[in-house]
Amino acid sequence: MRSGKGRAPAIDPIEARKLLLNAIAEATAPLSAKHLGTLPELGRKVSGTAISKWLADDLQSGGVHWWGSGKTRGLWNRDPKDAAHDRLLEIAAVELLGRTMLEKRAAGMLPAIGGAIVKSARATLLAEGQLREVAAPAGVKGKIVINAARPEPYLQAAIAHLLDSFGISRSPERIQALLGVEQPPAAAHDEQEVRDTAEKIFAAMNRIAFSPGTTVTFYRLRQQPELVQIPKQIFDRAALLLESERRALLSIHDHATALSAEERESFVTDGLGKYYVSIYAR
Amino acid sequence: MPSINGRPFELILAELGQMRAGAKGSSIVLVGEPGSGKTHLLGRLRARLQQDEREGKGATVYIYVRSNASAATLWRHLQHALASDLLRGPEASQLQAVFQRDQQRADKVGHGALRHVLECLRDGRHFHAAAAWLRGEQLGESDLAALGLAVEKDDEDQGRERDAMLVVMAILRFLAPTPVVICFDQVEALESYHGELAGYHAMGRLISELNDGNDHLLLISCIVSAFEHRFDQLSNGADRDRWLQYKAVLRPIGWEPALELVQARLDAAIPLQAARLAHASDPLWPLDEMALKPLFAATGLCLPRTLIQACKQQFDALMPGDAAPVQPVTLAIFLRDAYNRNLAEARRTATKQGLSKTLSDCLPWLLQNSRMMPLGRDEARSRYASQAWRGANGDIALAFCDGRGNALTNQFKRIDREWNPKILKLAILRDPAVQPGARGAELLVRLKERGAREVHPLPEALAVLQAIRNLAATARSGELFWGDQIVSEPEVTDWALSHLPQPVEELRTALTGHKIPDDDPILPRLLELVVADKIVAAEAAAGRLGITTEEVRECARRHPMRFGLLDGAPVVVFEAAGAPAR
Repeated sequence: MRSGKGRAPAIDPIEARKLLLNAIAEATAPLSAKHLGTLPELGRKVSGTAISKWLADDLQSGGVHWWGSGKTRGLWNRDPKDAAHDRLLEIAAVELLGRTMLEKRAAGMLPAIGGAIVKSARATLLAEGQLREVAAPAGVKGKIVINAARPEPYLQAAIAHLLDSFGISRSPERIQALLGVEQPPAAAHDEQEVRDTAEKIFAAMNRIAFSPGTTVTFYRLRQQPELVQIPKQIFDRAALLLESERRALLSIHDHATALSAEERESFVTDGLGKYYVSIYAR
Repeated sequence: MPSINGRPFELILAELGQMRAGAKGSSIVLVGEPGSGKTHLLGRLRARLQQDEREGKGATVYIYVRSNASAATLWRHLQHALASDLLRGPEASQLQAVFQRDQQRADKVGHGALRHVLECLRDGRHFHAAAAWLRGEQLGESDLAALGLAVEKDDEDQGRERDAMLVVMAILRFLAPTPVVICFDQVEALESYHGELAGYHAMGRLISELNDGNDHLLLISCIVSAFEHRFDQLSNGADRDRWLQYKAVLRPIGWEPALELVQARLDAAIPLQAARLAHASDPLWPLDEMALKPLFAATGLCLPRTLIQACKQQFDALMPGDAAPVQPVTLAIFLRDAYNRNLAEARRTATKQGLSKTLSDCLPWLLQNSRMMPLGRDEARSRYASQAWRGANGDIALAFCDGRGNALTNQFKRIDREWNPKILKLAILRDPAVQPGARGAELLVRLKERGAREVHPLPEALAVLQAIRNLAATARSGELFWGDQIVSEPEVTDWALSHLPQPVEELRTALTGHKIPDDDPILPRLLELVVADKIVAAEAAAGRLGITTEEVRECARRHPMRFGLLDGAPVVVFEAAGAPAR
């Protein structure tokens, strides 16, 4: 007979992987290997090497990603490349910065992203034409990177400079008006609800997907207990938010308008005639 | 381009590798939007299997099944596809390769009829009859006798499906231990009309049977993502789990792989090679990279087909001298042309597969779009009727009778025994060219006296329904293009319903009781003339009727079951053989 103080029983790698994936999916930020190794559900302390080994397939397939570097390194199910994309676009839409400063700013936001990932994302966005590198308007040295879809700060500076060269002076508000009035933002409460729902959808999607990155129909997602009560409009906006944030992709139904209203109800719509049947992690 | 859809392809190869190493085969479902490369992936797999065989890595039998069948005909459909692919290419068919590897394999087949047929095919005796039997086509008594087989006695759909299942399973056992890959493409085509789930249920059962009975079988099913939720609606969870053992998604591609894809395509274009050398610094020459970027603006990703089409458009615009195929000016003209192309093939298919299979697969589309709805399954009714529908004129059961001799008589006997005219009306659909024997004729008269209606779907009506079904299935899979525009299934349905040829309208009227307006004033006059003269030049007929030659021609074209038309010089109209009585 063994004594009561013997070794803890060996951990089943399949079970451990499930526990780790659940913890990662529910986390609101990357979790360090050290933190994951001390999860009480594992029953004993586990080394970072073992964690990496158990999640090797998921890291390989893109279901789980490394975030940050050095001491800030952690695991999360969101792709840091997508976050880097979003941050670069967001910063470039409000500030006039050169390449290096833009990358530094995006990498430094929390949770931190590795510099190489940000650099690669910046190169891709420039190649795709979503970011554009242009000569800086007077007063700023060298070249700057702008968001091609939201070039207002750059245009505002350039127009002000052009008017100035003709001796005309206009207030920033008048130039902004010339560039178009922004839509009034949706109620803050709604926005928060949409964001929360998006997180729930993302977690549920990763939990019930057949394997990492495979499609989950909205028909199934809507049956998940945490999503059953969500109003359809909020649910649809949350799903679309995940796509616009480049965390997920939605599969479109080409001719849903010809279907019955009941059938369309089980899809997600953008309200402009597009209907989506399923969602999957990017 | 190995990087495009690399993950699903690797999954298939890994499963195949496991199976070759002795593990049990599995079932993989591939999901993707139209244009994501599902069918292309299957083609790539086929090429890879051929390459493996050439390199001595082992032989694999590859079977492609386009899933445009229905719940009642799925096993027959699989038998046809399995046999067709095994027999394709008489000199170097997959079947011949199996025989070359093991001459004695046919001797071990337990299914007696199949063993006879395989021996004939191996020895080159009665090849055409044996091949037709293997494909499940109906044979005459003399052909069956030549093959040493008994005359077919089974007279009902369920019996034929059971027979087809036994033949398929016996063929697969015969092929063992050679690995077999069966690819079910366009699974969404199982819906004989939009929303019909019976085909998916039957497919789930079929996959389960195949999976349980064979260890050397890899099943791959491709479905458009818009129809993926049908899996969620399958009531039998066990069947669904066996079908969905693995799942992979075919994804849109990013900018880098897109560049590689376009460059690879351009490099492969031999006429461009010399000119591209002069523009070595521009890998996409003559295309403009900037013009492709907007395709990636929304999500950073793009479907391979969308990208290729954009490149093609750009290329066509750059080459104004090269006459690109003229695009039909309207959608209706495009659909008419596409339908006509389908019709030629459908005429051959409908003749070979027989009345029962064509009606099972295609009639639901016509009836469902004629404001009828299918009645639920009923065990007692299924003993004598193939389908049952509810319409404005009440409920009606349909019995598809395309047996011959004793089989036909047996079917009439069963209908007479099981059918109760007080409960349900009955239409017997059969080919008038097949004459029942004395007892069969007697039973038919008796059934009609009890109130059954005899309906004769003309061969042209069956071909038209098959052509519409094929066209609608292509559209449902997002594979029907008018220029660069995808034509949807509802557009095909709308067009087809407003252009139903006379033989189909007549069939619809016979089954639904709806009257069709006879709005062709030329028909009775031309008919009278042709019945009297048997054959007449269109120009002469036009002169006698006081109309133009073109009007005569059009009228003859609109009524193909009444007139034959020789489009020579001169154009000649004649009375069609077997034209319906006026």
